[in-house]
Amino acid sequence: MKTYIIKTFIAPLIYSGLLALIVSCSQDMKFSLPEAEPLVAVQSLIGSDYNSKVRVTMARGVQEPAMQMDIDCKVDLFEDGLLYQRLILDTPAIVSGTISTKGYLDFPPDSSFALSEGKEYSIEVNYPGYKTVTATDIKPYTVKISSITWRYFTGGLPDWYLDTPTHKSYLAIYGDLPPEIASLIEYTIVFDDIPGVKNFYRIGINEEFYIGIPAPHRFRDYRIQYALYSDPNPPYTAFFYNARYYLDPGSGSLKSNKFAPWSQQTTFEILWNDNDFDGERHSIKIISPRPYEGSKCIISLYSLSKDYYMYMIDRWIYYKTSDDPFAEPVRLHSNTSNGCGIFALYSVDKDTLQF
Amino acid sequence: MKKLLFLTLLLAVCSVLSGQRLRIEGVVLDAQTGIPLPDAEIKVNDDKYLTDIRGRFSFYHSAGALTLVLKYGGYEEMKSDLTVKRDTTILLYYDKLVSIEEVRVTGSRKPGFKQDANLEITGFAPAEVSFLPVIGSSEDLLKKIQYLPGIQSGGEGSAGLIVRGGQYDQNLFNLNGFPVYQPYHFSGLISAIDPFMVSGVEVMKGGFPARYGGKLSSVVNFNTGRSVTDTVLTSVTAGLLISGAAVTFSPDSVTTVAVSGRIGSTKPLNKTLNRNFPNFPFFDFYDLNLNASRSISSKDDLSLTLYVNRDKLEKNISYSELDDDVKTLYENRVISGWRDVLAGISWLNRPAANKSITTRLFFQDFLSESGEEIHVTRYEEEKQTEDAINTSSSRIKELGITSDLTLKGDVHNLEAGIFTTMRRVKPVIGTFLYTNGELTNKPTVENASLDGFFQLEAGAYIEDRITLNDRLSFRPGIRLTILSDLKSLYILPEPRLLVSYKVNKNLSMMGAYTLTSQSIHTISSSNAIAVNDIWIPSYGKIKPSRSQQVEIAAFFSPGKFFRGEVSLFLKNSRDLYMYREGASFVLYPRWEDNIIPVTGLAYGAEFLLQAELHKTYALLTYTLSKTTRQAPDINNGERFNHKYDKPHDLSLSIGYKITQKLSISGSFVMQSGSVFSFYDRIIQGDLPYLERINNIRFPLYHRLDIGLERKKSTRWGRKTFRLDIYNIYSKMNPWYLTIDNGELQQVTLFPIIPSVSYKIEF
Repeated sequence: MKTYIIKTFIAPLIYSGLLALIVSCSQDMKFSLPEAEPLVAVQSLIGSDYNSKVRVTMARGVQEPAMQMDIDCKVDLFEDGLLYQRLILDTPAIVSGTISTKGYLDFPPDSSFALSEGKEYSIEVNYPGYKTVTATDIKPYTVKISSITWRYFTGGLPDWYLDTPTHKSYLAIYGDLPPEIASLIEYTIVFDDIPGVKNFYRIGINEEFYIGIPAPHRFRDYRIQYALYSDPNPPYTAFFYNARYYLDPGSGSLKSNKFAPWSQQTTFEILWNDNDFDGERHSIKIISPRPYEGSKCIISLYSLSKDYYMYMIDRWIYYKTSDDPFAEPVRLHSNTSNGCGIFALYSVDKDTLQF
Repeated sequence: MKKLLFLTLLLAVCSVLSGQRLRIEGVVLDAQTGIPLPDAEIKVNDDKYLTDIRGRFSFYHSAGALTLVLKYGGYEEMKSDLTVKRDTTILLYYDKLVSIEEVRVTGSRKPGFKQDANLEITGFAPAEVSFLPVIGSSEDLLKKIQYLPGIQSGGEGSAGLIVRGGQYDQNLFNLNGFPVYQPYHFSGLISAIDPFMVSGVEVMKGGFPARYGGKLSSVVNFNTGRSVTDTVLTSVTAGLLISGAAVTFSPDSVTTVAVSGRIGSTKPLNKTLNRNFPNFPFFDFYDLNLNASRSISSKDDLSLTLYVNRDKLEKNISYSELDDDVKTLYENRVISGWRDVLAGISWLNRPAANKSITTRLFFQDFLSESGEEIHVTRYEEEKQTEDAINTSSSRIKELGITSDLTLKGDVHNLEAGIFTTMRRVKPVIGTFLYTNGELTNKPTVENASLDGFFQLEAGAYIEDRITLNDRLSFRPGIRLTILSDLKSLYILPEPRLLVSYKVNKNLSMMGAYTLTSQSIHTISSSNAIAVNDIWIPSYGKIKPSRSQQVEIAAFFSPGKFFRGEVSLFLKNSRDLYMYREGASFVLYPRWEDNIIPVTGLAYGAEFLLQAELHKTYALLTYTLSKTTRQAPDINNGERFNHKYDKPHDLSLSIGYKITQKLSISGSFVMQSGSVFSFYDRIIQGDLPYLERINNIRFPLYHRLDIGLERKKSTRWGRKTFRLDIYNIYSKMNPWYLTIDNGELQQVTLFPIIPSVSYKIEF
């Protein structure tokens, strides 16, 4: 209730009240910004997941129309300075001809894609008419999950959790429950931080469960949003998760699921670093709605590169304040040259729980 | 030619004979107003002395008879024979029959800005620059200061003075030696100090003497000193923005009282600006200035200064509507404004003619606030209320005492002093939510520092102005400040050095190094329209700001009619504080988490040329400068333009006396546009992209102001009519951008603004 009042009622009134004072000064004069030259943008968060890809797009002026992409774009991946692989454009995504009307070009990894931890990787993006865009990152070492324990309980979820799109879509599917009496689960995840290096973390929970319809859609792979009790305002990443696959019980492998009604989710996953526990055993307690009987939960502990972490922190700040016209601006972290965007690497360790 | 009656009054006879050389000092005053007259020439034998901006002069002479010759502009030389037996202080009056305007008409009172004998000080008397056009037709001292190179306003709608890459909170405004936090109304549009009360203004952009501290960028002294007069001088002004009355009188032979009160409102701008402005937040304001001084003995003066400045905006909107079939009342209250109250008493003790001790005790209460309150009442079976109070406010209370010793000599002029200020600072920013009167966002509010912070600032300084010969002088000094919040302690040494050299009678050079510190900061939003600026103290990990500046300057007068100045400066600062990227306060009141220290770098060249050609006065100033900021967590750690970075700043002002009663003036201002951050690119299908902080610069800012002034003397006094037109060609200089229906719209604050005022003095 409180969140509802704040977000849907109080805050917009504050914004609109303050803005009304100012907008009333408008002289109805259009303003033309100085022309902003387009930049080649790289949006690439690379791990071993099937969502990894190098996406090449454009940062264009806000007053300019959307740009079509020239598919004659080359993306080379280097390992420790040596060419590792020329990435192949996701050609099925291209409608026809030599341009992509989608506004971006995706270069997914192929089956041989296996980056080594601790090695330096860089990409070179050669887009026609622009300087070569480069970016470099080091693939972090995997941090192993030592143990996972859990307990069921009844309680409430933090305010920020209740106001996220994931939660709202969850409610749309499963119906609303008073948050105070929600049936919850608390996971305690223990791991050993690698000493002497700066480590950055994120946790993901996938739930696979049977939904009672005939094969092949019997099982869903669903990304779960979770929360912390210990921090009322944690930094988190708005993680866009494509649930395009389902776990085929026959083969045990993931298969395409184009008909899933909730195929793309926005999941919020907490970010943190080892500032307070460098080199020590650390445990984190997270809570989420109680999983269904018979389902499986796959808990993934992501080790992030510093560039990944900084980029995600900036995104978090941006999302958090994007509704506030008086907020200070945010410049997203970038590690590219001659362009913008991010090329960042991560490693992951997974553990599966059967309920 | 009018005759001048030369009155000499022996005021005080002090001290004992110092050998055969006696110190003769005095002040040249306008007999009618008591205003000191600068640049009057005192001739004793073959020696000539000029009065400073306070009308003061001093020299040494042997005991016995001497002849003073006073020469002021084109008037006849007036002589007075004196016999001095000991150190002597004299007042030189002009006759009441000679009006101020007649003096002005002859051009004898040089208009414009003057360099003090101490080259770091630029000074002027209000009357000397009154002809320059000003918004609202109200004489305004702060706006006149902005004509100086290296000093600019924060922009239309922004507060205060921006000096050499500083911020508006980095200026030390002294009213009779007492620091004032807020000397302006309406975010810097109008000065809150009545020019009637001020006999002289001193401006320092660098080379600060050690007696000044606590602020990084500038020192501005407003001196209201008046002398005993046997007349009552009254001034009544009615203007577009501000009206008021002032009076000065002497109830007895040792007491002088000057008091001024003004009220104003920016509501009349609603008529002159644009009909689309009905909701613009106009301010009502008033100010009160009082200065009373009394000589309690031949060696002791007491004076009282009282200053009250209040700005207030309040706007209430309420309406009812059905919300889910429930009658709901919405009440919206917008408040903004500030209040500054200063009370100070000073005691000047002159145990000897060359020695004085000034002790000041003051109390100041400053409040700055802005915000919005929303009250929602739902008339269900039981009345439900939801309240949101969004506020940013700062309250500063301080009690201070200072004591300054001045010891003058032929070679050494020593100044030393001690100071102590106790201060409580209470910054609050955020939104407080209530349901049925109960605070509901307690988890975030309770972590905020809502009780304020105590701060103790104490220290001492010493400096010596060493005059080696007629050409060369040094002024080494050091100021030591100890700052504590009772938990942390900072010791802040601030060395100062100034060297001046007179190359010839037409050229003087100056070089200076200053280190300054500041223990209370304004955190200012980068958003032009945001009103969430707060004052925060240095405490714990929030360090005092430090700034080093080196400058060299040349002052020249290439001909009889010209005076000029060229300065180069380099200033670097550290532990300046800014809001971090993404800082937002709508729901989160912990400002401590939203600020980060930054370093600042500013450098530039300043040029000033004044010309006085018979009936014409011209002032040309130009500043070429660069101001940047840098912090690891802002702009990916790369240096970025400061919001007040304006590389080019040019102004040309010309005043012309058409007749003895009528004068016209014009000022053309042109400067680089302001910078701001704007998401001018979008990454397709994803996020807006900001290439760097403050990535957009508005187009060149320029405007032309003109002013017309008609003065007429009568038997009972003088009448002055002013007509000013601000931005006469109504250049729509953008102030802010907003998006309306997907299109960028610019907001212009001040198009053409005509204004008039009428003043009578008697």
